[in-house]
Amino acid sequence: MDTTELLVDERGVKVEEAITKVSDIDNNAMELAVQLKEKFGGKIGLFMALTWGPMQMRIKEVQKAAKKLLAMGGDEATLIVDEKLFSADSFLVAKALAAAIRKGSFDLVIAGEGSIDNFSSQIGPKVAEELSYKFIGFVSRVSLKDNNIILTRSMEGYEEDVMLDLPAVISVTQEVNKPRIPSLTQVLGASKLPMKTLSLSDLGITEEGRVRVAEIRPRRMERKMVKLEGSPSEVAEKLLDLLVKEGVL
Amino acid sequence: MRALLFASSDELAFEVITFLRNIGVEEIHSIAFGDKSKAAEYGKRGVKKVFLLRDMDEDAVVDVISSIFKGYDYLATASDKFGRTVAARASQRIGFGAIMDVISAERRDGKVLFSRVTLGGKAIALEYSDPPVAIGVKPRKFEQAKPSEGEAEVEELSVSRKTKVLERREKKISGAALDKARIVIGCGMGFKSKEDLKLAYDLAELMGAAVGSSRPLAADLKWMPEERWIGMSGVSIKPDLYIAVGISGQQQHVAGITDSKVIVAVNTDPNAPIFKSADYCINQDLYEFLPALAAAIRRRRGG
Repeated sequence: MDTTELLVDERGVKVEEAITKVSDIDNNAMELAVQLKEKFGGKIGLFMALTWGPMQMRIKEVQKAAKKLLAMGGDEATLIVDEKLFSADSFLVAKALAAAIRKGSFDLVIAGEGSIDNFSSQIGPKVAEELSYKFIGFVSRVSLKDNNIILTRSMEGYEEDVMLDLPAVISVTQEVNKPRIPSLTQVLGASKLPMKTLSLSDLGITEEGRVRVAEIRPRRMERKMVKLEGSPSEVAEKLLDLLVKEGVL
Repeated sequence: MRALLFASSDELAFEVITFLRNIGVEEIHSIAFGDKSKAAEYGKRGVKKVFLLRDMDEDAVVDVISSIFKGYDYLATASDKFGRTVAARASQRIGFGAIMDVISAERRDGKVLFSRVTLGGKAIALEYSDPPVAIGVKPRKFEQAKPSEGEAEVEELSVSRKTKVLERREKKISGAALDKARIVIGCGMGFKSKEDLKLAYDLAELMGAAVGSSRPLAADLKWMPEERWIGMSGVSIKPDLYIAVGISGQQQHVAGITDSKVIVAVNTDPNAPIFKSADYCINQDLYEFLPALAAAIRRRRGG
């Protein structure tokens, strides 16, 4: 979801009016998949779960987003669309994604380090557990050494290099690469690639989420938004007066 | 209520202890890394039992939690990268949910509701779950529990690493800590070169401020070390005064500055989104304004 377009006002949070958007980091994940495919061959499946309603409006948006990602060099897409996933927790979303991924027998799963709306960084590691794959998170650099793939993980206070051992789920940060922009031919070609839509019952999932949302309230961010005008030194003087008055200098 | 605690550092673990006491957890057991003297520190902070591990390894900690997690209401940690990863994996493996980035908790109709900032920093979500549930407390939101009397029962566990680490490098920490500074100056893409950051450093020295940056400056251009990067996936700051210089105001960044008391933004683009998150909006060229501000401060000091 694109939270830059998310509207928050006195009456509440209007999730319905925000535009569905692929988190920027997901472009980095797709770029890495395409680079590895170019080097080692293989097939790229794209898996997306729709977690915000309303369904009719969102489904078109998510299809469009999937096509854009496929155009970078993917082979097929699977969309999981089910009202039971709207506002669902990461426990259930991970179960759904893992069930769909399992059908395709993929040995490397690449995710973004977090979604831009939530940034809890939960989906990657949870999908790894569901698949019983290794998990290597926060990968900021990928390099090759004697045909081995070396991953550099960027953690708080330190970074470490580990060798990629399949099967695995990895999560990447924005620094891992610069996503390519697909050509017009690639974008047109992506429309012809297979795209299927599955529901939770198609995936055999009857379980419910664990965490529930009692309330979402707008965060008070009332800023004064006072424009200070004049020459640089006039504005500097005005600002200092105001900051002294605020008691922050 | 009972909780099993683990965290990537003792400081973070002691913050989580404070949070757990606030929500009425009586019995805390904790995983800790190191030797027996380490366990004593946890005992002094009221931890009843310590499971002692030699190494801090994600796979090993997930395995340990999965085998010892019985009869607990909470799996508690701090929501740094280590905490959120291990909590996600252990809770999914055992079969319960996880709530990360928790900043407070309140009781309503017999439930504990956990608040977390969501939707790119624009909203607070109040979430709950039947026990057990994994809770990741936002780092540096709570005071560390102080030591007093007490002794913990210790159980030493031996586990082996699964993922071989080829090399580990500590990131260099430089300058004053951003999250503790009273005044912070943030630098963005409005600076044309690394050398020009001197304008910000000079001003910072005059004001006693710490200097940070937006994501591209630290992560892509490497003009500043990574721990200087302010934002949702970097450092969250809560100074009295934040001055955003040449920063456009991407939501990533804004989510990390919302706890600032007063925000000043300097940008040449009158439509820069940062102005919507600022108290004082200065639509000027930083190359003219920063020297003017420094001169004004010097004038007042001198006069």
